Amino acid sequence: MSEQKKISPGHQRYLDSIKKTEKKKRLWQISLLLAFLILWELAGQMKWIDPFIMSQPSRVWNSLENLVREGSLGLHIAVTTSETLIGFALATIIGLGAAIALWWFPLAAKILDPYLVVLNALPKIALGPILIVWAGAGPKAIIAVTVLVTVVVTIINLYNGFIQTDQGKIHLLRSFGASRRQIFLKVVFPSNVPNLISALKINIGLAWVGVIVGEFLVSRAGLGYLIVYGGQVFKLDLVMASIFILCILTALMYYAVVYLEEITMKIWHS
Amino acid sequence: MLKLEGVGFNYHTPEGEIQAIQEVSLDIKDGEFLSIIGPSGCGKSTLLSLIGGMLRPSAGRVTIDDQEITEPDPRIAWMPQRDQLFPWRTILGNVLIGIEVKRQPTLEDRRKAVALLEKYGLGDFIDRYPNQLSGGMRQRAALIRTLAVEPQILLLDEPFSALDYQTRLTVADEVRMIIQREQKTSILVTHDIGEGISMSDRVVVLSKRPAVIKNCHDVVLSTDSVSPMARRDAPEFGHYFNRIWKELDVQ
Repeated sequence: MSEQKKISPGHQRYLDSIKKTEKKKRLWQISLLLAFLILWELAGQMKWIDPFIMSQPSRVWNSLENLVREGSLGLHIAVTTSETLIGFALATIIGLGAAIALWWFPLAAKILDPYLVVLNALPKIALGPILIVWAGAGPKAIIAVTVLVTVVVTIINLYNGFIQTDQGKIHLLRSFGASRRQIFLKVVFPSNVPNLISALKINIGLAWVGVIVGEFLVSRAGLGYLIVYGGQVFKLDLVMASIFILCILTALMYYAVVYLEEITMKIWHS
Repeated sequence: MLKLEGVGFNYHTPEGEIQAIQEVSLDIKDGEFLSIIGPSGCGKSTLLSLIGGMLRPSAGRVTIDDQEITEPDPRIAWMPQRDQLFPWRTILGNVLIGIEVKRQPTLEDRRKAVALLEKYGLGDFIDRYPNQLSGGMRQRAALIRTLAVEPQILLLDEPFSALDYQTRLTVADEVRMIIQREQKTSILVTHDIGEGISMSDRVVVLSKRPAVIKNCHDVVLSTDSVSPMARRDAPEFGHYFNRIWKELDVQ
């Protein structure tokens, strides 16, 4: 494939045009962000908006510098990130286990179906205060909220994937005399790997929602705490700074999952 | 010898009971190639599932050498409609799946599987993945997966229906030759009359549901070739074709 091939002028033009579009896209993406930041800054300087309420990039920057100087930024990031990762991992493991159990016992799946539907429709945040009472006002409650927000969707998505496994492939294995366990391990699970990855992608987003809401309710550290605290004492710069960091963290974690997806897809050969 | 004695099968749905197959009796000789032709939806595939022990008959019984078949039997292997190769497994991994279900594949199993793949022209594709193979090659790999468990009887469930016409003719030819060399008893289910006649020693025509045997044709052609391509050129081919066409009563 990597042999040096003569590229015809027509093909060269095509390749160049792809590169050009790519460049144009990047340029616009960066310009949009810069334009937004400059306009925001300018609007503050010119008193078109009140920087005390609306904040502005330079103030957000100062606020970030303060956090770094105090040495607390690392702590807040570490608390929120670790809560997210733990909640995300727990929800994925519990969700996967529950989905396997439902697939294994079809009658149980039928019986539990309406409960799952209601749990799925319910805004899980509503259960937050109960969880605080049960798990105590601390990281445990935050992780519990995160798991609760994430786990139901995981169960439903994975279970639906499992039951939609190609019947032809299951039939083939059955014709070789495969047991239910073999059918799960050799067909149902491997053919649902792409499904599992897309569940992870959804979960990571939901886990952030769970953690931030959890931190709104109970916390003494973390980005959610900073946001609530900043709001209460009218330090909007601090709120914006926290959201800015949150943006970076969520993007990083999302791309980590996308990277994982690329690797598994290569192994999976779809 | 494979025997069907008064086999019947009823489907149950909340709306009622549907008679799919009624009183089907057949003797299939060792090494015979039998085709089952019938209108679509008549229960041909169900009949194969009954023979393969995937379903239990509502009436009658299926036996191999007088032993009743009640569950998937190692002497019988099934080749599905689409190739059903697992995209996440290499060709060798796919071929070994039938053995894996029974036991941990030994080196000897691997060696045999590789030998089969090499014998039938897939030697260079052992470590490739199904999406890197053409439709015809995939179907050949699916046949080798069926042969790898060393069955006596092959059940072919419209194995060429997902292929385009040209590939279909070539693959049918290849499959028939391979089965001839491996000396397996085979039952082919198809709705393609030409395919049935050109591949088989005997063609069984089923009626519409509830399926009963309408007629059995011993296919005797004035050619010694087993190649379906060559057999299609035999003068009697058209004669069989017309008779079966009429029996199928397609309107």
